[in-house]
Amino acid sequence: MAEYLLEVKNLKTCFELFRGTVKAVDGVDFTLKEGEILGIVGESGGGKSVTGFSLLGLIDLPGRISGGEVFFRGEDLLKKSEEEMRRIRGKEISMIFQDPMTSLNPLQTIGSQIDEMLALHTDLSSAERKQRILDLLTEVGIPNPADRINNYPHQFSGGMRQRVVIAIALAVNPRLIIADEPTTALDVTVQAQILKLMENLVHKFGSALILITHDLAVVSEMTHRVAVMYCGKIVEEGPTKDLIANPHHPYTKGLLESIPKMAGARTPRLPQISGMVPSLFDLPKGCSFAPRCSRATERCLQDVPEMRLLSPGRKAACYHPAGMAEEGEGHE
Amino acid sequence: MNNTGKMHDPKNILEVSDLVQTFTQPYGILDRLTGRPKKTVHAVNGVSFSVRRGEVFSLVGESGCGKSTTARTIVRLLEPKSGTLLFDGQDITKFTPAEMMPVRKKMQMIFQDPYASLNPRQRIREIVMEPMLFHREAADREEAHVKMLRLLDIVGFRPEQADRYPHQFSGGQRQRIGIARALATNPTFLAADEPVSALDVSIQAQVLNLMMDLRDEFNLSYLFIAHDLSVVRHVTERLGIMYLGFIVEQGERDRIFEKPLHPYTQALLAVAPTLDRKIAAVPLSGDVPSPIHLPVGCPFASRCPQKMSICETNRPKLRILDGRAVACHLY
Repeated sequence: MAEYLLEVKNLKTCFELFRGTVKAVDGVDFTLKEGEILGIVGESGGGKSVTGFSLLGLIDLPGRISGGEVFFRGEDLLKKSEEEMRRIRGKEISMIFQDPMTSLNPLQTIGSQIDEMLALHTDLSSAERKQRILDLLTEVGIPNPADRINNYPHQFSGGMRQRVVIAIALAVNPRLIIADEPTTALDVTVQAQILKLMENLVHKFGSALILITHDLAVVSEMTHRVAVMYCGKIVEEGPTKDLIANPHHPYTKGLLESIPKMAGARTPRLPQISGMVPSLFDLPKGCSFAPRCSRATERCLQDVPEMRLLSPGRKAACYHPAGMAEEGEGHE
Repeated sequence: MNNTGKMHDPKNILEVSDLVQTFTQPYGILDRLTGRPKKTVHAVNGVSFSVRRGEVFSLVGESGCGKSTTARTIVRLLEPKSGTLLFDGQDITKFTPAEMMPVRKKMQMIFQDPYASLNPRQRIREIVMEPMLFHREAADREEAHVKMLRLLDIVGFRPEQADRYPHQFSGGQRQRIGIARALATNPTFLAADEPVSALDVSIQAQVLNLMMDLRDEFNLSYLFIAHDLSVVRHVTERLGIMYLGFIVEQGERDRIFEKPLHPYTQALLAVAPTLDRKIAAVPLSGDVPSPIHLPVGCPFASRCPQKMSICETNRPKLRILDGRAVACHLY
């Protein structure tokens, strides 16, 4: 069990709504080693954020985790009581949220918000905590931390607020950080600063990181491994570089192709994935991607493909994977 | 590029010169009593460019750089503080609302947020028919109905979908409805303010392809506002890069993307995440200065890695260099 820091097995989270049950996360498996950076990518409604929240047990009614196991350092988090989870959240596993404008308390100074984390999870004295807060703010690159410690969130720009959020997440040196679209609300130049900062700090503190994002370019920049989600399921997983260079699942391939390129020749039209994401209330019978897939056959419309090993370290849930060496492309 | 002012070039659908836009913060009685100075946000500070017929011209920059304000001022949703706007050879800068009416038919706008820009209480057919009837593009409701169905067909909807409400559609579909509405008055010029930034990648490609198809079909010209450089590179012929309300570099796409000259353009291109390379460049430090107190010198000086002493005191002007215009003391 100690082989992995985190081992997620068949995680299922559903929302029971008036219109029916939505399987937002439908049997997700993945693992994470110490110090590893894993990207979870997908489009809106893919289930990537709900996966992140489920790991921490942050699912409110009408949602509930309906099955699976989440082993963190060998213990199943889903079996823990709320009281036990509170001691794990922030201390062992912390979270960075998407919107730095709303994830800080507007009525508390940033100093006291970081202090809350330290007071809750450490035995440091008040003076030691103050020093630690100053160190953390320096670490995340906030100029003149001694002057800024008593400032309120509205006195900071978006990028600076996200730095404060990162300082809070790192305050007690957690083993795992879950970052849900941490740079989506930021400008490109600030995004680059924050990504660099996160990469350096994760490296320095030796934490593992799960980066949840819709942006494949950010994933390729930062992560070691990536899992692609579509309609609540992981459809492809593998080492980032490999997966981006040679995607096996037609959805991953379509996503990658539809991003306009920054260099090389321009095509007059962008390759596009036809149709749109199906409603989670009304998923197709077979593979969820089949109605939009150019490689789909009769079988794809009937059966749900399981994740299977396609090449060393590379898994995909597809009957007709792309980019396979021996099978060739003439598989239509 | 910045000497358009006097002579109108018939190749251009739109000529903007020295456009200035400011906003003054509300100044209440308490402010007057305490003698607090009036705060003015200098959103657009003398922007000049032109859009040729049938071309896509993009304004690129980060939030707060004045790109959206520029677009809104051009379509006269905001009154320009100074400068001139020539649309199709006509000086529309001082046009009254009545005089603007026939012009508005020809210049339409596509908005960023497809959730906020459609009336939730109107059916799709009403949303698309309303501008036609208002601008007398259709003689009666029958004719408008036929035209509406044709437009919906062009942007990819079936006739029976016309009776639905906006909430029954996804973000990408709503953006296509917004495009159909913009086309309803038969415009020649569309200002698209971040039309795809709220959309998922696979849907973004669909909407971009549609916009480019429509350009060919209806002979449209676009002013395209965006922050995503890869999207801009895909759609545009020429572009201007904005920072703090100034255009710092402007010219043809390939020139700028292959050899950016302004340090800000260089930084933007260097840090834009891409699939095929790792960011090697050290990202810019710091934040954009406040548009309330504009720097005396170069707007970019506070973050520029190649700053010289002159940059603090003299504001560089756009100069033609290597086939584009650039405002920087380095050259």
